[in-house]
Amino acid sequence: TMAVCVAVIGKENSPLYVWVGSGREELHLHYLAHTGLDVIQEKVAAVNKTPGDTRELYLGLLYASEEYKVFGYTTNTRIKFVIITDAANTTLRDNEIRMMFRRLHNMYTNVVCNPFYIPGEQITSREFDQGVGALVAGN
Amino acid sequence: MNRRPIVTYAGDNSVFCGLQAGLATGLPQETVEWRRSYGRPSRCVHVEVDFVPFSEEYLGKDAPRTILGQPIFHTYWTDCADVEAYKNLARDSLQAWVMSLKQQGITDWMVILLETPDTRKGNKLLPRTTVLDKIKNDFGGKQAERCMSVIDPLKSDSRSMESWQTLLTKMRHLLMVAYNRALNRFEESMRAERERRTEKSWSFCSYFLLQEELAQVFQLLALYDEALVQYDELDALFTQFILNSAAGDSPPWLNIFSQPCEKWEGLHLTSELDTVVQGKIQSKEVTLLEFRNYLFQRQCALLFQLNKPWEVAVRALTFLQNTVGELKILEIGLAPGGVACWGVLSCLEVIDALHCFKEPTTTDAHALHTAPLWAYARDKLQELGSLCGLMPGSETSSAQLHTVISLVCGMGNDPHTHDQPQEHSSLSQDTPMTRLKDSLSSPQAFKKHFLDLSEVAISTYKHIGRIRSARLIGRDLATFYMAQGEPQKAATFLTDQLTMFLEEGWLLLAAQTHLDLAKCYLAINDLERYIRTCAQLAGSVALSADVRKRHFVKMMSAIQDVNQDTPLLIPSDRIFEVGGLKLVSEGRIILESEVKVELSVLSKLPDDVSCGTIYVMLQHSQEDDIMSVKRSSEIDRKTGCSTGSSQPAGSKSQSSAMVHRSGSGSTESDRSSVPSDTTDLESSSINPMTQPLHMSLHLEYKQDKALSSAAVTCSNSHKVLRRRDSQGGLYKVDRNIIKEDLKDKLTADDVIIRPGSNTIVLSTKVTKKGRYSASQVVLALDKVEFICSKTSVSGPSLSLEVVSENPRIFLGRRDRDLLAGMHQPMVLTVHSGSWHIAKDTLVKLRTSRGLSVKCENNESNNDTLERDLEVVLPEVCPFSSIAVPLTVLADLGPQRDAATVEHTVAISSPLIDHRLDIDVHFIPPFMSSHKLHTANTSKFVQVTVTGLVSRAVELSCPSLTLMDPEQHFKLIPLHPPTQTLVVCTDQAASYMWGMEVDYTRDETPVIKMGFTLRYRPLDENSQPLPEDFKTYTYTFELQDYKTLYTIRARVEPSKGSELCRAGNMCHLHIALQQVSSKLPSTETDGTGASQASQHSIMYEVLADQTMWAVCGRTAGVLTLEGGLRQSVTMDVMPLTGGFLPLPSVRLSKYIPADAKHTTSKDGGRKMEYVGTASSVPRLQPFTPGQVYNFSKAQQVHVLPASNTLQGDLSLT
Repeated sequence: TMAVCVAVIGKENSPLYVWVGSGREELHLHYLAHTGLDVIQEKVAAVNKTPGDTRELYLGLLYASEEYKVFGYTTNTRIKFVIITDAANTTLRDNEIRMMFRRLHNMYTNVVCNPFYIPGEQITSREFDQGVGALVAGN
Repeated sequence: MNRRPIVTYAGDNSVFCGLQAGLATGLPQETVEWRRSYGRPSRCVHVEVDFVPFSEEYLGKDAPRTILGQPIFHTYWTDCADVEAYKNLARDSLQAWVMSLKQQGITDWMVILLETPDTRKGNKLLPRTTVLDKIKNDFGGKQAERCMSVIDPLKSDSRSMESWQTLLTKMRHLLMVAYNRALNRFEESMRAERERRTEKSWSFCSYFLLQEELAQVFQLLALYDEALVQYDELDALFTQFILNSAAGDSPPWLNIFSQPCEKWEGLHLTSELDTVVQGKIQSKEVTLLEFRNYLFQRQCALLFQLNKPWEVAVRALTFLQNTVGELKILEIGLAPGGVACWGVLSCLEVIDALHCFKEPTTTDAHALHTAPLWAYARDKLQELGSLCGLMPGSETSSAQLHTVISLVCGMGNDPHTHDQPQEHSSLSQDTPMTRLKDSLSSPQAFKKHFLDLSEVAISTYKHIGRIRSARLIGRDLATFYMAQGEPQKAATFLTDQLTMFLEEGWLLLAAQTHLDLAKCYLAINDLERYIRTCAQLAGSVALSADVRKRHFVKMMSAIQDVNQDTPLLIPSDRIFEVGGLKLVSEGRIILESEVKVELSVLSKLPDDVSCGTIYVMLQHSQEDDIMSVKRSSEIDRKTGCSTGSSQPAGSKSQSSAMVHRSGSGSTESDRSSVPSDTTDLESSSINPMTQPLHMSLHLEYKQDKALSSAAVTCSNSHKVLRRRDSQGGLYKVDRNIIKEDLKDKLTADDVIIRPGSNTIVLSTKVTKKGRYSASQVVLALDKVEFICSKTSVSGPSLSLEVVSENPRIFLGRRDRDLLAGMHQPMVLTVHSGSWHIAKDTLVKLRTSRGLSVKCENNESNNDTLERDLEVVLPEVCPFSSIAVPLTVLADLGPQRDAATVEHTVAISSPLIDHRLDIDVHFIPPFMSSHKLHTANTSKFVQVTVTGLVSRAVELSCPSLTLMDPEQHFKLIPLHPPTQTLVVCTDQAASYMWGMEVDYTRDETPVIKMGFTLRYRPLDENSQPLPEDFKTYTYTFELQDYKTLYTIRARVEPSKGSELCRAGNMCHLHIALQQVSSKLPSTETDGTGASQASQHSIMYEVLADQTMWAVCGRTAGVLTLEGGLRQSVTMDVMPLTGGFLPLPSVRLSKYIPADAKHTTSKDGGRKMEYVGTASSVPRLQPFTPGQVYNFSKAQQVHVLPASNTLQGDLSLT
């Protein structure tokens, strides 16, 4: 698998969607994703200070523990994506993570385009579920 | 020991030795530009070299593995003063030196000739004959600049200084050229070595030392960044090898690193090169930890030299984590805890090292990276703590003691023991190893160090704003404190974290924290909080059903233990979703009535809850009318907006259309007003995305007013689309719930709340007028109350308007003005207000005199109009009205003018407190007037009936009768007796009677006459309405109706003229005749004594001054004593020609100053103010009937003035 946890976090830092790989410590990964918000906020604030329109949405590695690596991504509407990978997974390239985020962003955009979805509410979309499943499986 | 590149010297050693010191210090003093090959940027460097005597041994080594300690540049020194000596001695020696260099292909050399100032002088006249010239000639070849001379620098004049500097510059330059050459050669061989890295015989250790040599050269040249690049390359290369080995590609040399680590010495950050480890690398006995420590220490040393301490901080954590990863990949055997020891030591070492670099300006940059380091060190210490049984709540076993001992052994010697003591004092802290050893020594010491570390980690995280990270450590500490037996402290940390999780909606984490908190509160025996927490757990959707059920049972049993007077308050957030309140009662809410409200509660509890009572608190407010109007208009506006309607409500003031005009066209936008900020905020508190857009119609017109475009625009887009920062939580967490103490509440008793949605109907009796708004919702169980604050109640907030309105009674006309003298409809309206009017309630009406009334649809009543009426009302519902039609008739009396007839109706009823007096005005349909006409002595009475209203009234049967039966005048109607006339506005009817007056009688009695008429109203089409004729009576009196005097006046031309002519004097003859001589005495009763004076009449000639000029007196007093006739003639002159009306003559009774009054003076003094009328002559007018003027309206033909006569005649 490509990732052990995928989280979509709303503008006000509340989780809209959290996927945790089966057999993983769900609680621990929730903690990691939540703590990652600290670094996201920090990075977003740093980017905001520098003028210019071209904002890199991919925030890169937020932090790493000995087991996991936490990557972050933020949309222009302040929706945050967090992907957590196994630290032991050394074959994963930065570019692959970046691509995962981009796919996730597209999937999220589809969710928001649904007129029956109210932005800011939990995502309960089967299509999104399947998309995330495919994303973390690496296909 | 510092290694440097070597420069050899040959030739006259004594010469060199004299200069060596100067050279060694002089060379590094200034920078020299290093022009580099392969397009690399040139750098300015300082060169430092060691000088050794020339020896052929140094030469001829292939493929150098080192640079430092190798000769890179060769010099030859001589002080040969003259050419002859050079030719004899020096030349051969030089020749041999050059040859030996050439044999090795060495081109980096230099020949220096030391001159004295004198030697130069002598040879000035002969160029190219100096020793230098000779040397250049012999050896220089194309590189003549390699041979140079220097004036003995010991002679301190300017010239020698100059030549010395020139030498140094030259030497530096050539040295760099040589250096560059050597380095290129070295790098080439290094690269070749690296290319062989896939070969089996290749060893990373050898290669490492090779590239490190390059790094050291750069370091020597003070090119620390380039040196760092070398180490970083080595780091990357090594890392890649290990990663590849994880993928199964493991080179043989890697086995060296795979050997078990017996020691876990921590990192020692120093600028010194660790030669011990370097030696181990060389001997290929190094362990992974040692190697990693060594490499990172080198990198850090360079980073510190580059003054980038924060970069050390950045790299430190990665270094630690990577190394641990590598240990795993290589499956290196390491005693348990060894890695943790190494981690703690290294972490603390880095932090300590950074501490030295701490400057006020760089504090923050450090903190950003030290915070995770502190956290890492803390984690590792915790790992050690649990390994060695030092954590609270566990006993240290002997095996664990043994572990401690072996761990301490593995740390090796403290590298800081040999540090300078002053360095230590500045640190004011023990070395990392001392601290770690101390921590492991006893649980108490461990606790102290662990808590210290935790505190630093938390505060550093907080300092850089990573609150969540700080809280996560706090959570860990909570576990520690729980084990420590201090649940109170643990609860503090957990509550902080809970608040954050709840605010941000991380339900799983919140549930976990609740679980921990529940344990805490149970330990503290804080029953209240325990129950609250259990309630939250029972309602948590993130937990499994059995956990929820378990906590529900715990909660319910804990509730039984509650032992206090006031019920325990539990915020209902996340346990019950209290939905919108809906008013069930229909219609307006009347005071004292029962109000029913429907409440929907979604229970998340896993089981039924039996609530004794459910309240909805009601906040009462007595608002004045203006406020309530404002409110209602706001509500209007809201509904208008939510439906996207652009139709402005009538009451809105802001809704005026805005018209923008520009040259090309005009824009008109019909905007519905934007609600104020407060309402916006209210709705946005839950989810700003659900905020409605205020859309409005936007029409744009062309200049010719044709529609150009129509659009729907969002007028509050700037608010809705404004970027809001992710600040603060989405959900408000209110822990300190306060139950509102309100008197008014909606209640429902004995309700069982089942899991899922429940609908409860609550009711109350409203006892106060005004507005009630729903506030808290309270679900009261036996001893606990779940409180849902006002803001947590979803849906639109409920507000009740309780009204109380008294019944009102009106009496009103139906449509037109009320007419007197006819049956008129009126309406009695009873408005019930907020009351219920029972059947058969009476309303009493009493009218003023002349007004009678009857109820129209009341069959039981007889059909007569009465002054008193009792209206029996049917049942009337609240807020409705009933109209009782009435018929009224106002009597029409003699109506002499258009004045309205005023009446009052007094209404009394048990429905109203006071009697109600209502003024009712009736307009008379017509009025009547009379007039006496005279023709000499004949008299005529005319009665005119004038219509006053547009409604036509038919008149018939006029009759005029004498009221006094004793009087006998004959009245002869002069109009057709059966004629009917119609009067309306501006249409009058006249009736005339001839009256025979008896002149034989002396007295003139007053005649009272009665005029009667029958009338009935007509409809619009002049058809009679089904209404009976009514009789109109008009009475009047006639006085002084007899003719007393007649006047005949005529104008005659003066004698000799046949016709009157303008400008010529004419005579006005006035003849007065008394009709009856006895009359005057009768006319003024009681004044018969002054008979003579009664006959004095004053005449006045009143002529239009534009027509007549009256000559002489125009007035005079006549006394008709002698006879019945009197004539007066006066001269008048017509002023203009034509038919001129005669000057009119007015007669008045003349009452001279009375002698009788003068006698009544008192004491000879005249009473001026008593009887003024008598004391001066006065005039009294006659009534119209008393004087008849025969000449009234007569005209006389007057010819134009004589001077125009000729003209006139000629014309005729």
